[in-house]
This record gives sequence, C-alpha cells and structure tokens, in this order.
Amino acid sequence: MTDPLLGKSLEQTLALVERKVCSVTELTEATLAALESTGRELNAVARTERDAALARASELDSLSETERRKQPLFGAVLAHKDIYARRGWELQAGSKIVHGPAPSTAAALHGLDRAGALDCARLNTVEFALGVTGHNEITGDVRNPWNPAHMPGGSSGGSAAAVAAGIVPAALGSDTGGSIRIPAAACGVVGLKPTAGLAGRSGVFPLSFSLDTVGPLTRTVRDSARVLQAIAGYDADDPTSIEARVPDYLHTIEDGFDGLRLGIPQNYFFDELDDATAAALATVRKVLTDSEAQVTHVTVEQAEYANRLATLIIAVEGANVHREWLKSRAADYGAQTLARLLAGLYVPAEAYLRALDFRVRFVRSTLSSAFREADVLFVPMLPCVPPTLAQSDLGSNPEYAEMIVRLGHCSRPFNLLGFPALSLPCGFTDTGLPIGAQLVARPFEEALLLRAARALERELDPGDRVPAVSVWR
Amino acid sequence: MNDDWEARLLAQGVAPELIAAARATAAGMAQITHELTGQAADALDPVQFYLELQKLARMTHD
Repeated sequence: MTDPLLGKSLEQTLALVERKVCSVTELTEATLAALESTGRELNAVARTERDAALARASELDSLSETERRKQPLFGAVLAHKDIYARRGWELQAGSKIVHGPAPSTAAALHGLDRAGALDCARLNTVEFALGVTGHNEITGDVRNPWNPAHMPGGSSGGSAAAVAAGIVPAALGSDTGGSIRIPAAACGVVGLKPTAGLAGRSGVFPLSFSLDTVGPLTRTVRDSARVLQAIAGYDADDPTSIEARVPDYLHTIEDGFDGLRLGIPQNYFFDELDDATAAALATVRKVLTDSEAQVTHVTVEQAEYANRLATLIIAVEGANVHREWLKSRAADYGAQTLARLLAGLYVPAEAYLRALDFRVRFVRSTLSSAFREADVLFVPMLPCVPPTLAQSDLGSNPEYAEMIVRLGHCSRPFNLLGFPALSLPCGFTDTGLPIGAQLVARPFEEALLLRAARALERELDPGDRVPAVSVWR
Repeated sequence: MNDDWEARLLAQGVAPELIAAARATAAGMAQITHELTGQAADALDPVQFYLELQKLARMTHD
C-alpha cells in the first residue's frame, strides 16, 4: 500500500511539511522504510544513516516558524550518490577500496543543509562513478524501476532509481560523461548537469577534474531548479569553481516558450537513433514546432569529435586519480573499471593535451555558430532504448568501449563544452521503458534552460504510469 | 607507463592480456585524437577553457 507521504515531487513534499500534514521525523521514518524495502529491492541503496537522519529531523522539527520560513527546502528528506562525503559518514564510492568515515562534508551538501534539507542515505553508483550502464561488480547492479531486467543507466543509477521509484523527491548525482542525464533518461526523471564550475565539487569523490559536474535528479523541472538554487555558488575548495551570479531560477521558469529561439542540430545528434527513440523525439519536435518558440535548424560544428575526445580525457584524468591504488590494489577493482583506468595510463601526454586544446576551440565555435542562432538546443539524450542488464553487461570485453561511445553519443559533447544540459522524460516505448529528450543552453544560462524545459514539460503529458518497482505498487 | 609499472601490475595478478588490451585501447584513442585534431593550428593553453567560462559568467550577468 502506498505511503501517503511518499511518491511526491519535492514541491509537494515541502507543502506537506509546511502545512504540518506530517512532521519531518514522520517523513524521515517513512523514507527510511522505503529505502530499506523498495530501495533495497532495486539495489539502489548503499547504506542508510538512520540515527543521524532522525537526530537531524528532530532538530528541524524543533525550529520555530520564523526559522523554518528562512529555509527554502525545509524538511525535504533526500539521499545522494555514494561519492558525496559527509563528515563522519561512511563513503565507499561503489568500491572495495574507499571506506571509512569522511573527514569533511561536500560543499553541495552544505548548500542543501543551509536550505533546510535532510540527508538520510547514500545511493549506489557505478564503481568510482566510471560507467554509463549502472553495473557494479562490487556492490551489484542497480535495477531500473520501470523494468528491473533493464539497466538504470549510470553512473548515478541509484540516485535515478530512488527518485523514479518515489522513495526520495530528489537526489544528487554527478555527471562526467552523462552520468546524471543518462540514468535520468533511462529511469524517466529529470537530470540536470549545470555549467562546469557553477556548483562546487569539493567533498565529492573525483573521476575527471576537468569534466566532473555535480547536479540534481528530480521528478520535475521546478524541483531541479530548487535543488540547483541550493547547490550553486562559488566553492573555495574546488579549484575549477567559478564566481558567477546565481539568479532566482524559479523567477522566469513559468514564462513559457514565447520569445525563445530553439535550435535543432542537423548534424550528428539525430544520426544513430533507434526507432522507438526517433518516434518519441519526433513528437517532441512537433510540440516545439507548434509552440510559440522560434524553431531553427543549426549545426554544432565538430560535434562528432567531442564524444571520443571526452572519453580520452576521462581515461587519463581517471587513471591519474587512481594511480597509487593501481600500483598496489589492482585486484580490488572490477574488470571494466580496471580496463578503463589502465588504458588511461597508456595514453600519450600529447594526445591528452590535443583533446584539451580542442575543447577550447569547440566552445568558441559552438557559441559562434549554433548558439548565435539559438538560445536553447533540443537534442536526444540516449540514442536507444535502455538495454537489458544482461545485454549491457560486457565487463572488460573490448566491446565495452564502443558501447560507452554509443550511449554517450549525445551526452559527452556537452561535458566537453561545459554547457548546462538537462534530460527530460518525453515518452515511453511500447514495452513501458522511458525515453528522454535533452535541452542545452549557453554557460550560466540555467534559468533559460529550466524555463524551456518547464515549458516542454507542461506540453508533454506523462499520463498516470508508475514504475513496476516503486512506492506506488 | 614504464616497465616498473607493468611489473607492479603483473605482480598483483593483472593478466598480461588485460595490459595488452589497455595498451591497444590507449593507442586507438590516441590515434583517433590525432586524426580528429590533426588540422588544428597552434596549440592553445588548456587553462583557456576556464578563462572562457569566467568571461562568459561575467558577460551573462552584467
């Protein structure tokens, strides 16, 4: 039977607490129970932090009305990918190697704490956040709530599954080559990769220092804006953090398509779609064409280079993070993780520098071509329906490399660019698996991106479907 | 990667085939990178990426 406190959007949850339908403690108890039941069934949960969560809930419940109103996420009970450190809590990063209490708390979690949110668990990730399918030889595979035989996407698969299953209304993930947006698409939720440097990464276990980005997975676009509001801002402990003004992301979010220039790339992005994905995206294209937006065709020059070059950068920077453990603990890595990290050790420095060099040129050319004619781009998210866990379980079989390139076809160009990109559910296959669309904006134009995404979300009727494994069963 | 590295990996039981495959994957990635970026003009400083973003952050909200 569905718990009436669960299965809500973040905004609905905040309203429950504000109207005192429930206390924060009651909401926390319900969430912990769902994590231990539905969450475990999906293998989405790394560990719950019951005592700490209930202590924080009690603290929040004791606050005065005045203090509560100052906190925009007051009483939101959340859980996050198992690469977010909280002082004193276990951190494993989906590995055998990392363990023990974290020495400090991630900047993004400080932001959520200040906003009044409560943190109650860590959610499973691909080992060291290196992978796009959701498999993990160490902790086991996360299951897709819509069909547990299918991959949830990765690496933030536990975050996507927990949100899609209605256990938590929002969860943080990380996106280096698509690791927020790919699982968001596979699990039918909203995933936002902010502009590189907008949200601080200190206290988040690194994979690739020049490509890692932190961001939210949520059930709605408005919820995504609310979480971004809490985590955006300069982080003095993240050397790539950028001092950018953080606007009110909800201020213009309901302004609709009117006046927006939407660009649809004519090259690369729509080249490799399977039939079900192509059909769902054709529906989105029609919605956009029929809207008040000005739709234009654009070219993202050299996009075909970006996926391969991002893959090389991730391999090299990932190998650098892991080099000491590779010397002494190679046997403790999963086969695919080890294969990918070892490859990074053999890449010539000159090739790595060429890839970084291309990145600068790619930013300049994209801004002066596609984004001269458009404010927001519409592109696919995954080029295909999420495969089954069995189909995508390639281990260190050499075919894994091509699968990563295929699944990252539409995500990695925007990691290389560092531009903000959002994955939005846009339909279902005949077999009931979600399909995602992706919107992209110029750097630091998250307000515009969220506005376009909200306008599209309003037009796309999700119906009343619920996942097979969820709190609604 | 130098010989000492490979010796350490082998001593830990990493299969020689896995090391050979990693070497081949890396060579493939480097080859593709050369093919894709071979026509690039003078090299740019990679730090330029962050300078571009900083400039855009200022421009966006000025």
